[in-house]
Amino acid sequence: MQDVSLDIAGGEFLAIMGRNASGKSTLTRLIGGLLLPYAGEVEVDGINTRNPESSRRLRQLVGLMLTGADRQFVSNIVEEDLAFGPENMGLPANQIRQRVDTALKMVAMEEFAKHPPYLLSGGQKARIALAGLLAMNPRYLILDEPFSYMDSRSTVELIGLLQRWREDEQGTLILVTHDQQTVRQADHIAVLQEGRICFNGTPEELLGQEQDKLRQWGIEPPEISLLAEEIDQHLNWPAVGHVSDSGQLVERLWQLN
Amino acid sequence: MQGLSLSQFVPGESVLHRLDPRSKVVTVLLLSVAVFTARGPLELGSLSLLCLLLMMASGIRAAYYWRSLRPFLIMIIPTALLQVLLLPGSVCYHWGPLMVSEYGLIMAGAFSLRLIVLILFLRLLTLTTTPNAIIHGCEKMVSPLAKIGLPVSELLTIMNLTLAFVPFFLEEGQRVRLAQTSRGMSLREGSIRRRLESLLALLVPLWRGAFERSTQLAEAMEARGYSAGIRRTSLYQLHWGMMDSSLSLIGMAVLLLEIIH
Amino acid sequence: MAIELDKVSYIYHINTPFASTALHEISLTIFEGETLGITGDIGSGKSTLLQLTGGLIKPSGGRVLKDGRDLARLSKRELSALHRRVGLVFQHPETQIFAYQVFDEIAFGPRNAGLKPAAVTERVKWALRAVGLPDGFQNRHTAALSAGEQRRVAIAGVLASKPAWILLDEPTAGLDGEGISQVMATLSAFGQQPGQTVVMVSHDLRQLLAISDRIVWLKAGKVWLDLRREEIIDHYQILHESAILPEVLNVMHALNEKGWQLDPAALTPSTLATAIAEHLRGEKQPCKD
Repeated sequence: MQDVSLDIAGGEFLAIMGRNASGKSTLTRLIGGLLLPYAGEVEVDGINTRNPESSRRLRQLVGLMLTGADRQFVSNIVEEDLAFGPENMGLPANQIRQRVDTALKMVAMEEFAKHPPYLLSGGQKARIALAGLLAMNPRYLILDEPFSYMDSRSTVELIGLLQRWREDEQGTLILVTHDQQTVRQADHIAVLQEGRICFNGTPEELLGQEQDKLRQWGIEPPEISLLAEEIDQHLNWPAVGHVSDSGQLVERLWQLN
Repeated sequence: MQGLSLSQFVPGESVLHRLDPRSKVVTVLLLSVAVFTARGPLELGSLSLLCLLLMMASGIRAAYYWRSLRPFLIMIIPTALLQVLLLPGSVCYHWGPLMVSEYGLIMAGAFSLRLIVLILFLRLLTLTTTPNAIIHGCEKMVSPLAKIGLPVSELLTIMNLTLAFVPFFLEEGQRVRLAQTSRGMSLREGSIRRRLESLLALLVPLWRGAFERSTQLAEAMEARGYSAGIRRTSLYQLHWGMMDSSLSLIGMAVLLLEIIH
Repeated sequence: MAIELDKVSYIYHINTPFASTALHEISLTIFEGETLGITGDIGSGKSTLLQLTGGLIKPSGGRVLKDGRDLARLSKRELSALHRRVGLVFQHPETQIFAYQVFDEIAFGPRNAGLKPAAVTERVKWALRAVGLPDGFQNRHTAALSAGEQRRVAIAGVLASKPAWILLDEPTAGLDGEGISQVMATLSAFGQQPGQTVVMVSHDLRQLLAISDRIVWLKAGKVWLDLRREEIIDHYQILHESAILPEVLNVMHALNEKGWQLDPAALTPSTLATAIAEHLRGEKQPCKD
């Protein structure tokens, strides 16, 4: 990571993109306070991550879900795993109970309260991992590639869940992801390349970039842009140009016809 | 991954499920000692009966108890057979050169029954009580030790994590075995070199996986607010009730009767 | 060789209170030489299906047949022979890497098959080329590779046994765009070789559309759709209701609705672009009956 400056507004949805090993995971750990920067500062709600006294408060504020969270359960019973965070916070038993039940409800997994986490499906495990964070009542959620194995429907469901959380709790959502559909819904996108921020703006601005630039950054251009570009190449002139969705493309093609 | 692990909790609403984990741990300990010190058929018989009654009180299907017993039968049956065939005494049956003595039959019967009942008592505990609850109960019971500086809470957390880790480790092990098998791995056939390499192909990924997972788990735990030395509370509020006292008294009574007898 | 699943069922954690049925009486035949894609909702047992096909696990119900013979009836030797012909690449195969040097990792399969050292070396080089890694890569240390490189080495390790069938479970999971294209290029080339059978599980339909001759959709543990490549666009409506589809399908469908008749097998951006360009230039569409 080099010379990275980033402002994340409260309540916003930030997507972090970039190829593997571009520093995304390091960034999430820095924001979450698991790593401290060699130079510069990271502040969350005014709390400096270097401050050892505030680390407990920081852990509660920031819910950080790293890759492989679906295999990091601390118990063979779902509700005990969810209780882990609140137990670390020193809450009394009845409050822990309440937090666990609320978190289960938020991810719609109440019937699995006494199940072993390792017997759940991939999507269910991801939801339990998320519930474990929600049980701490965070105001910031940082998730590192939570959708790696999910099909489009599960991804949409999970995003819906996260957006609802954002609305209900005025929370800030930071997602590291490659998924194009998800990224379109973000308010703000930051792209990392070799430890530096090479893009910082809105989804529209990002998808409007040239395809070569996107590829350089490790971002797959949207499928529709690929299609449009290929058509223009075949026809040898910018017949279709830049389109943002299939409807637009079909319109242009029809007109050309 | 197929099957339940031997320590897996099965949810339920039975009397046993609702008891304080401390009474269950204490009772099982007392009854286990009683099983070892039991002498005659009367004592073993009544312990077995008690075991059956408790199993029925747990409301858990007999099939799950059976599955827990099965792996141990591999050890119990051959040992019992040896006792039947080799122990001296008044002979009751012959089959050619093999002689079965009365003494042998009795000893084998007592040995097997003892082990079976012991395993079932332990299983009664783990089927009706979650590991965390057991640990929390034990933590409370040994809390005086914490006051003299022993890291009780941390040790018990380690135990709990190990238990949670085991299923993933087994699953990973199976996956690695299947993957390497499809590449011709063999531990039993082929040259020494091939067999050694196959062993490595099985162990190295598991070892590495275990290390990677531990590091990742440590980070995840830290992210969820854990660090050594913090004062942790528990999801469970332990209530010691009448039933708990009754159960523990039964356990104590049984053991005392054995000792006196 | 054809592998047939005859009313195969699989129940996870059978006889426990957490039992769940992953596959319900699935009947499916996989033919030699084809490239088959399998997709479906999560938890629909796709990975289990692959393991059953490879004869690595036994079904809870039904039979798995190889050329008409029940796998459960095969002798140990015959089963081993099957394992050698079917290469299975699990999810995140790089976790199974055990050797210090890339060469030894890839050589594991060929050595176990009894090849002589010279033949082993040839095989390793061939496997590296097949996954698009350069000459000399066999001398690299496995621990010093990037995620994408490790993935390719792991795949090369399976290819090196020259299995006639290769089954892959989410081969591009966790890779970035570049890693994905490299793996897909390998699979595409591999599948095009005559006699090679490729079965790939993926939640990403675009990847399957890029290489498959046939795609099977699983839903709730059952076969929902089993379509040859050219038949997919005819089922657009029903597919659209069930999931977000790749844009190529949306565009092809919309254009067909307007009366265009595009090649139904042109389901990737480049092939569709070719078909569209041909149409616009007024060129004749090849007859696909």
